[in-house]
Amino acid sequence: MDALEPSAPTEPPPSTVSTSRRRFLAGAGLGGAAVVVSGGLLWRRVDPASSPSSTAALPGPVEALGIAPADTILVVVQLSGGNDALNMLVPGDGRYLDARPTLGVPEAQRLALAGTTAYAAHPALAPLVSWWDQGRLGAVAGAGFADQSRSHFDALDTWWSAGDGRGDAAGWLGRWLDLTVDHDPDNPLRAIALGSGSPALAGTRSSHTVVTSIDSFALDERTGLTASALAGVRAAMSEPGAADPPLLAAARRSIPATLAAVDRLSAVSASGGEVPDAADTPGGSITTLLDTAADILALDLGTRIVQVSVSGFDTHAAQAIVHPQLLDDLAGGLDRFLGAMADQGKADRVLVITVSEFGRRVAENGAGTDHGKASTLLVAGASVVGGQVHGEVDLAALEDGDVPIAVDTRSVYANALDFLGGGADEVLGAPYDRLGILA
Amino acid sequence: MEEREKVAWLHRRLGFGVMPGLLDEHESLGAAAVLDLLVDPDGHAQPVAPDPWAGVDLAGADAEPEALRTARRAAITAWVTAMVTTPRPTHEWLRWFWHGHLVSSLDVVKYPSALVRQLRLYADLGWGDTPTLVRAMSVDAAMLRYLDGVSNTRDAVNENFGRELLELFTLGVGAFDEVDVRAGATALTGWTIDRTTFEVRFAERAHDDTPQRYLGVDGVHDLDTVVAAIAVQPAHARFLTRVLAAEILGDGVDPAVIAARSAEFAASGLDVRTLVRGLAADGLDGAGSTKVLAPVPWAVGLARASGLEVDAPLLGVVGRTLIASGQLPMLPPNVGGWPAGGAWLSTSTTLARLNFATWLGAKIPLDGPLGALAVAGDVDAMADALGHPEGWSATTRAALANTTGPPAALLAAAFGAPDLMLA
Repeated sequence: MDALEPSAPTEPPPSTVSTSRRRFLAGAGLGGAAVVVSGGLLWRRVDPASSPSSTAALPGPVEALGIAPADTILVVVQLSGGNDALNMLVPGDGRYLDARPTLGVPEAQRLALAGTTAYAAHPALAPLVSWWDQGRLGAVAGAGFADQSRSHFDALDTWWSAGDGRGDAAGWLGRWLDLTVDHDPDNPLRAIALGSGSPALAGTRSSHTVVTSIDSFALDERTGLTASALAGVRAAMSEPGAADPPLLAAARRSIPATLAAVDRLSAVSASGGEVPDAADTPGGSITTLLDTAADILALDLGTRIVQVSVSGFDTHAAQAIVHPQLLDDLAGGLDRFLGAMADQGKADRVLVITVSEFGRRVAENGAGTDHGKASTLLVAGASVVGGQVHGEVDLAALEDGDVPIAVDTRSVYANALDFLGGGADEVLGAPYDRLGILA
Repeated sequence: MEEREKVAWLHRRLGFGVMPGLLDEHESLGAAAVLDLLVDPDGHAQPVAPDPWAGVDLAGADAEPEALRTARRAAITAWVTAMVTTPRPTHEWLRWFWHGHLVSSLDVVKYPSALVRQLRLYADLGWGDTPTLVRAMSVDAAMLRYLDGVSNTRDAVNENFGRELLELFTLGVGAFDEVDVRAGATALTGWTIDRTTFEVRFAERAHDDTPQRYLGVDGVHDLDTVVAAIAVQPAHARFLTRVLAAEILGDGVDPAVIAARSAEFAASGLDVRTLVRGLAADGLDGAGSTKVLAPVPWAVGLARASGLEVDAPLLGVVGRTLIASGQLPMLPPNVGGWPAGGAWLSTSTTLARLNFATWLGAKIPLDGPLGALAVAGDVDAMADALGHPEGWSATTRAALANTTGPPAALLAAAFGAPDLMLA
C-alpha cells in the first residue's frame, strides 16, 4: 500500500464551512440554476448553529457594469494559518526587537529594500529583493478588517467574503466571476484553485476548478476500462433531472465539469492517473504550486484567476525553524513565477497578491507567536507601484498587543478587481480607496 | 421510509454503509433494534471488533525516517482495513468522528504510535461523558504535540490549545472571549511528554497555578478545574449537539430537535451514547436531510459493499483515492478537521471518485453477487446492494438501464453515480 503515504502538510484538501456558524458560502455552488460545482473551503466549520444563508442577489448583465473582457490574470497566494508579517517585512522600530528577544530578525541579517528605511526584509526573501528594487514588488502593511477575529476560521471567513461572512453565498472572487460569467460562460478553467479549494472563488452562478495535485489530475484507464467506454452513461447521468434536489443536481454537474477540466489540462497533467508516492516531496509547497500555475497559464486556456493555497503558517512554536523555511519557499516560488511570466510574455498581464488571515501577536510567546491582527500583503507585477510600502505597521499604537489595522484589505481587493477589468464597487459593495497601489 | 430504507440509512449515517447480505439480516430485526445494537454492541452480543493496530509495527521515537514512513503507511492502512471489515461499524464511525473533531494530524505529530494512542483513547472514551473525554484528550501526547501543549509553560504561555479547546472542541465561537483563552492556557501550563516514550508528565515547576477567572468561574487553576468550568457551560451541550446533528442528520436540522436533544444530553451527564442514539432516532423519524458523502465513508462504503477481499491491491487503490480526493485518515488539513459539505463535490474529489469507480468496476467478479446483478442488468437490485434500497434517482436509473456497455462498465458507472456521492 505504497500510495498510502501521508501527503505533504502543506497540501490541505478542499474543505468547507457548510456547517459553519456563519454559514458563509454554505450554499456555494448550489444556489443558482446555471451553477456548475464550486470548489470548497479551506478551513471548516465551526459551529453548525447559524442562521440560514441567503443567496446573494444575482448581478445585472455584465455590459451594464462596463466591465470589458480582458486577458489580465490575478494570482492570489493564500498563506493559511496566519503569516507572521513582522518577521517577513521587518519594521525598523526598536520596539520590534524588544518584543521579539529570541525570534526577532537581528538588524545585521535584514535585507535593505530600496525606497524605505522604515522596513527591511527577512533574509529568506533575498530572491525577491531585485524585483522590489525594480519596482515590480511592493507591500501593503497593516492590512486587515476592522473587528477582525483572532480565530482562524472567523478571520478566514472575513478575508474570503470581504465582508462579515454572514449570509454571503459567494466569495469576493466568486462574486466577480458571477458578474463576468457571460464573458466566457463554458470555461471551467476561468478560475483555478491549486493546492486546495478556496471559498474566495466560490460563486453562485460561476464555476471554478480545484486541482489539489496536478500529478493525479488525470483519468485512470489502467484497468482497460476507458473513459470513452463510460462517456455515454456518464453523460446521461449528468443530465439534470426535473426532480433533483440541489445537492443531487450539484453532484451530477460535478461529473461533466470534472471531465472537461481534466481534458483541457491534460497537457500538463498527463500521468495516467498514477498518484505519486507523496513520501518526502513537498507537493503542496508554494514553489511547486506556482510552477504548476505557470505551466497552466502557458496553455492560454482563458484563465483569469488562479488561487494558490498553502498552510503551515500557524507558527505557535518552533517558529525560528519553520517560518524561515516558509518564507524561503514563498520567495523562491514567487521569483520563479514572475520570471516565468516574463518568459511567457505575460509580465504586463499578471498581478500577484499574497493574503493571510491575520498577522501574529507582536510579543513572542517564547518559541513562537500567537494569533494577532493586521497582516502584510505582498503585491507583485508590472502594474504595481512597487519598491515601496503602502500602509504601515505602527508599533507605538498596539491594540491588545496586536498591530492595528491601517489599511482595509478591500482596498487591495479593489485594486485587484480593477486589474481584472472592473466591478470592484459591485463586488465589494462600496468604493474603497485604491491607495495608489497600482499605477 | 420503509423499514429496509431506515436500516440502510442507519448504516450510512452511523457507519460505513452495508456489506453483502447485511440489509436482509437487519431488515428482519427492524430499524429500532438495529439502532440499539449499533450504538450498544456490548449489550447486544455483537462480535468484538479487534483493535485495528494489533500487531502493527508503529515504530518508536527513535525510528529512522524510512521506518517511520513505513509505520505511517501501516497505521493508516490498518485503520482503513478496520473501517471496511469491522463487525462494529458504529464503533469505528465514532472514532472517525472524534478524529475529525478533536483533531490531531500526523504531519505535526509525526509518530504514528502517538496518534494511534489518541485514536484508541477516542474509541475507549468516545461513548462516555464528554468531560472525561475532554480531560484525557487535553493531556494526550499527540494533542500536546499537535497544539503545542508541550511548549506551554508558566514563563511562555502558548495559546494554541487553549483557544481551539474552546472554539473548535467544546464551546464554539462566541461562547468565550480572549481573556478566557489566556486564562485557560495559563491553567494548562506544565504538561509535557517524554520524547522517547510519549509518556505524559506534569511538571510542577512549569505550571502557573494562579487562580484565574475562566468562563465566568473563579478559581480555575489546573486541568481539572478547566474541564469542570467547560462542562457547566450551557454552550457545551448545545455545541456538541449541533456538531453531531450535522454529522448524523445533515444541515438544516430543526432547532427544536437540537434543543430537545441538547437538553437530554445535558441531563444525561453529557453522555455521548445518549446523544448519538437520540439524534439517530430523530433521523429515523425524518429529521435528517441529504448530505454529501466525504471521500473516506464513500470509498470505504464501496469497498464494504463490493464484497471484494480486502487485500493489498484494493487497499492500495483506496489509499490513492483518498490522497487524490483530499481526505487521508490521520492527516486532517488543519485543526478544523475536514469539510462536511459541498466541497467534496470539487473537481479533484470527483475525479478521484470516478477513477476509483472505474477501477472497482473492472475488479468485480461477474460470477459474484454484485457482478451477477450487473450481468443481468438489474440496476434496481444494484442500488439496493450498494446501500440504497430506495433506488436510483430517475435520471441515473434511466442512464444505467440504457447503458449498452459490458457489465464492468455498468458497474463502474453505478459506482461513480452522483446518487452515491450523497448519503
